[in-house]
Amino acid sequence: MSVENQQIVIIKAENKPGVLSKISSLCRRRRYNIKSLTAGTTHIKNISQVTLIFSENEDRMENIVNQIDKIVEVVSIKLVESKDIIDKELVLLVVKDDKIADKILKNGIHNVSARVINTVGKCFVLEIVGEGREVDHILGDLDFEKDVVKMARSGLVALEL
Amino acid sequence: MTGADILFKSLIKEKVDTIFGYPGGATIPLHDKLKDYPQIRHILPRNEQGAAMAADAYFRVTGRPGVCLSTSGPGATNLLTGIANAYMDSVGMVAITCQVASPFVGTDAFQEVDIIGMTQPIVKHSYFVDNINDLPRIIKEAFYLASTGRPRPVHIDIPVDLFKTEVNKFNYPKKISLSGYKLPKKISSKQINKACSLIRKSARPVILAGHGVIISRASEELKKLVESVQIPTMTTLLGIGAISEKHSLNFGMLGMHGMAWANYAVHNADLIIGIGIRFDDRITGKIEEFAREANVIHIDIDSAEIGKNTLVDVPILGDCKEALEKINKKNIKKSHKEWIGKIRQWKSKTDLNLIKTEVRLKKSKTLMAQDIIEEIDRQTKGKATIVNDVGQNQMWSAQHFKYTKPGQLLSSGGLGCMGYSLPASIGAKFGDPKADVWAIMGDGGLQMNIQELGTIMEHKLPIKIIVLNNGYLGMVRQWQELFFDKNYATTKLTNPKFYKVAKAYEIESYRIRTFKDMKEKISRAVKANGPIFLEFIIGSEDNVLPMLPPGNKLGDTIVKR
Ligand SMILES: Cc1ncc(C[n+]2csc(CCOP(=O)(O)OP(=O)(O)O)c2C)c(N)n1
Repeated sequence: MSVENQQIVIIKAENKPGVLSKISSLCRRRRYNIKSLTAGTTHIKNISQVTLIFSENEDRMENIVNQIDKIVEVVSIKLVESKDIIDKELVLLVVKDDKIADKILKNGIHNVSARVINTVGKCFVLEIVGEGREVDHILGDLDFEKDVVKMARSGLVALEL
Repeated sequence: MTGADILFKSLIKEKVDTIFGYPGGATIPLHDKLKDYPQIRHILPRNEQGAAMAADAYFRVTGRPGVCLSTSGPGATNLLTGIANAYMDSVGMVAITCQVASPFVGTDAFQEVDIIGMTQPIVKHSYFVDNINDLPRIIKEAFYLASTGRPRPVHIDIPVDLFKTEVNKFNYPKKISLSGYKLPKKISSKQINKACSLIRKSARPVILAGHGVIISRASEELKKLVESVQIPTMTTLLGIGAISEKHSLNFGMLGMHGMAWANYAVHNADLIIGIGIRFDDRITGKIEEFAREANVIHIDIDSAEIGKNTLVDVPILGDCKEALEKINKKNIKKSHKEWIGKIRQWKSKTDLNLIKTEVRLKKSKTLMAQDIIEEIDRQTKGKATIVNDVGQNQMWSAQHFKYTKPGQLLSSGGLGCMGYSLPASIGAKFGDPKADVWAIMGDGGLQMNIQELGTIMEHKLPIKIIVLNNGYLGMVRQWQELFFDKNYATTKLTNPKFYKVAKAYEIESYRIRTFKDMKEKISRAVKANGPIFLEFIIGSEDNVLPMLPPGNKLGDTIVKR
């Protein structure tokens, strides 16, 4: 998937049961592809933030934004551009050996912070944190079949500036 | 005082006078208290689907949310079709389902279903009640949500143990705080100006009026605009009555079985003003060809409807009535004589009377539905409230009756749900006892909710039940005839003598085959004080025309088989 048709939406919603399920089933029902969905609390009491990444063309976005906005618990929703936000993603990655770990730790091109948090036998457990795009690049350089034992990604969390 | 009292007291605060409800294990403690609240009339349908559809019709005639109630599990799932119907047609409703007792929720207990999960995509909002003290607030919010903005159903699920919980005080909240609920702000005057400049410039404008005009009670303002700017107007099925069909600038219903001339006009327009409509596929035809040469002004209260199906040049977000008032204030005066003349020309070539014989394959003396509807119009002096079903009967009764008032036709538009007419006619009669209610249905639709004859019998409701019996699931048969080489798979019905079924329900009933008898029995129905059931045997292969074959553009509407 190219980054071009990736759309970032930031939702502020009342922290009530069922809100996430409403948002995600609305997207399923109207056939919008969600690439990533994260949710957590904010500095405001009882208000949560959902960061939604769609793999969709921009011209389809207005309608889904309006649809989600109608959910009664949704206080605000905004389609944002990458230049107006900071975003981060965390990856937990287990690689086969020290050579692969080194390649990631010492890479000079992509701006992520990576460190070893554990080892299991010969395998290295890495923590990688960085902007979504940078993380995508780092992972893009890996050969998942040969190099990687396990991986889990947090999904993107974004903050509007 | 118990939780059950809290529910009834809250409903009374919302001026609820009628509940369409059905009992079960989870409602017993609630229904037990009913006797203490004589202000509330509880109507028992014969299937919960009937409760939801009656509540739906109650809203359509009163403008106030209808209330339906069911037990848990199967009672609740039976409501679903009626709730979906209300959702699709922007109908305000508060649907209350009782749930298994709190300690059992989530354990697959007897008659437990995740009804909140099931209604989620077909309601505006829903509540699961954890604590009886929250109930007054929830009821207040539910009625507010169901009746403001775009009306739609709201669902409340209440575990049965809460009805038995002792409560000390009943406090009904005065204020509502729903921080995420956004009602449209004041209409932007910039958009109004843009719309007016398009209106001034256009040579071939049309207005498409939908259900939104009726919901926002904007008929007067619509008429004013139509007359001062002389804009030919068409309505959607649910917009019928938004402007009188006797008005010289109302060119009738458009769409799949709309008037051919109306469709041609929309196809050739240079400006389309959509008011309270969704630009649904049944009225746009092939969407790529819709409004190809026209600018579009779209007035709607729901931001998610604007630009959803068609490109819009001037979106106006807000209440139809307010928007029309603002446009009317600009005092635009135009005439469009040539354009109106052109539409009248199309009309003179495709008038329903001219194409009448086209609907029939070969000459026969069998009654025609068209004549029956026209006779009802004549004999009720155009004053009947028509509640139709789905299929050919729906289109014939939309086409051949001249509706003059908003709310005069109740129809299942968006969901197109067979079985609507009988329970909805009950809801309409309870909501507006003065209305002269005629339920018009096919032999298929009758059998979807035939059990509601029991409700009509019980309350001796003076509803006129008109069955157009063609022995087929007619509308599907028509498609099979036209597009599937007459392969009438699964559409031939083996029927009982319906008039005898009605007799068993102690309803005056007749089976009618001749023109003379038709006139006589309709006159009997007009005079009847109680329910009356007229089963008309009509041509088995009569079609609805005009028709816009699926996948075609409005300009391709046909008036022959
Ligand atoms: C609940 C439901 N089931 C199926 C359909 C599909 N359907 C649409 S029209 C129609 C035929 C209706 O037949 P009938 O009630 O006899 O009316 P007619 O078209 O003959 O007037 C059917 C089956 C539907 N609209 N609703």
